[in-house]
Amino acid sequence: MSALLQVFAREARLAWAGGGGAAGPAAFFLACISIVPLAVGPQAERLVAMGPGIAAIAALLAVVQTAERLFADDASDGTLELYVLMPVSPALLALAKVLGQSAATLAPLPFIAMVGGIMFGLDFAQSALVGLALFCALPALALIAGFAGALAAGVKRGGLLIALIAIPMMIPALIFASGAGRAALEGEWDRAWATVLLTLAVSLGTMALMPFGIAAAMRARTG
Amino acid sequence: MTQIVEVLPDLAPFESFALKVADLTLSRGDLRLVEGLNLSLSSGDAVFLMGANGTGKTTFLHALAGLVRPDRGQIMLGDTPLDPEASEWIGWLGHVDGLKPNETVRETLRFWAGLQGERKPPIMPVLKALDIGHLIDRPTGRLSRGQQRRVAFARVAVANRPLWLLDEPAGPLDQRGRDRLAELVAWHRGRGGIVIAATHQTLDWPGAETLELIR
Amino acid sequence: MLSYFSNPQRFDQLARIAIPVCGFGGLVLAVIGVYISFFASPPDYQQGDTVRIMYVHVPAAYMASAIYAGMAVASFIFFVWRHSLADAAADVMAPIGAIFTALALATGSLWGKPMWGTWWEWDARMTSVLVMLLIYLGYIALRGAIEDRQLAARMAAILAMIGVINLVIVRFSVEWWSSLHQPASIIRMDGPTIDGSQLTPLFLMMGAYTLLTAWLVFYRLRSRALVQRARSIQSRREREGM
Repeated sequence: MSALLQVFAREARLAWAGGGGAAGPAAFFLACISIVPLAVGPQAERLVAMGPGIAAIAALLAVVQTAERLFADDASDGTLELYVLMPVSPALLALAKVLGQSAATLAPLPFIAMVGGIMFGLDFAQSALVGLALFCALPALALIAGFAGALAAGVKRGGLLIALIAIPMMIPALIFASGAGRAALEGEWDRAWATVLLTLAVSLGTMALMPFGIAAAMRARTG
Repeated sequence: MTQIVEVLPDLAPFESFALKVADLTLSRGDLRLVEGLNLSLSSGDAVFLMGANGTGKTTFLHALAGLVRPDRGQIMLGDTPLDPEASEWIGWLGHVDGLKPNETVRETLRFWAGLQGERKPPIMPVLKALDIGHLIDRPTGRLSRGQQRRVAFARVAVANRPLWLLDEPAGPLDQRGRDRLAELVAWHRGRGGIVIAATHQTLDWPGAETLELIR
Repeated sequence: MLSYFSNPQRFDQLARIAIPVCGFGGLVLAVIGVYISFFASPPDYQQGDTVRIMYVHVPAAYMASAIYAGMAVASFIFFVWRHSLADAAADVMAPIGAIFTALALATGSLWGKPMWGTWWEWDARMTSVLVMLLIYLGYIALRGAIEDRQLAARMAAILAMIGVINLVIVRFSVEWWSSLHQPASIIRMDGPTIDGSQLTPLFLMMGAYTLLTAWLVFYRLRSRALVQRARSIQSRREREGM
């Protein structure tokens, strides 16, 4: 267990120090939110209706942006080889690694989503729920991005490929995270909470399954 | 030489063990690299794997580490066939260093040793033995290629593993670096460890055998 | 049985029989099926002649899923037992599956226009087929992007296997998503709403699609094996010539 905490802490530290930390994804997320009213028009009703969906889409795209550097450096600088040789379960190691990096790079997204919700005309409670649903979706999004990144590590300019692999897999998290916000918009708070729980379930399921896929990809690369 | 013996910690010797490779056959894709290779080593031995590029030196090391499944044959560590659990045995130096430029030497070594269950790795003595003790708090990105190689090698030396698998350990090292490397290898063998190194030129390791791989 | 056919010579023997049998059988079924579908079956009492699109559409949608399942099984076999033939099979199946998926989408859209009044309806079924097309494209792109062919094969196998679980979850979540805003599909293509006279052409077309796919897969696998053999002979000659 302590080994996994070490991996988690180290990956978070490296992502913070070397990768620019959370600034990139946060700025990207903000940029995505900002261009929407400019493209679809400033009508308040339309923006309110779109708010939760836009937050989920922007988060998905921001996570996809981080995917390429999750494994590319490790694959080329020999770190992956070392990780695979450590006396630690590769799946747990993959989980700790991806969550560690994501904790450093994605942590501000739920807060920005809340701010975005208010900018789109949602009330405070609705915006908070949008942020919470997004927070619940982030582990799933991060692990799927990690999986796509592990598959495509070492491919030159693999960003597009990673997006193509990751986006279809992220659909369930996207549906439930934005669904929760839309339910809150319609005033159906019971359904909103239930959907937040569904989002959490998707994340937990992904946490249980995806590390094995990532570990298999890590091993396939070194073998 | 005497200086090193003073610097390096006097760790308990490893339990005596043997590494046996029988009829090992390896390929990469459709290309057969190693065919019917036999090798038997016991505590204190050292072997150079030599051969031109593309003869399978690295693949052989990967197979010994359990990273590559052989087409045929067996690798035995002691009485048990090698399996991925053998990572408890292996100290690995890949052909790239596996360093992160923003991490200091100390952070790097402590992290990897910790992951291998070493609570008190002898970081400073090993770094001193490699002549880089003064660099301990420097980020590895600000070291020269030769110094980085020494840090990568120190990562193997501080973890208490009996079987060292080294891929081009002396690559960017100068003569002095090579001497230091040889001394650490001698120290490891003195404890009853085994060292296998893929290399282009023979290094000055007393009593080391050479295994030439041919296409 | 798997290891039996992983021997290239035995596979070649099998393929030599299977290629003409599947090809000819598929052609015969297709000719009969198309004739019955378009001329010798009654129009639907509600949908009229547009129901005939179903005979192209439903088998295509079925093939899209069936080929994905086949690809996943082949990937699993390759991943566990490292039979390169299984990997080649998955590789060969992917573009065929993608084409059937695209065909299912296109014919679904053509059918949707007269039935629903729109070319595209975001219902659960269409949407999950669209997602499946994306997954096929991701698989093909991944294979094409990794230069080391061995590595590409392994990564693609992992993607195909994880993709199965993913498709199930996507299907479930998309059903949930569409159930929020509209009742279940207007047209049900399964169950008692299908008349007996429609089942004959439907099954004939399904059989034709299946056999033609098998024909294509065997054909491409065999030509691949032949190319590989030619290459290895060539490289051996070059080596001996040196």
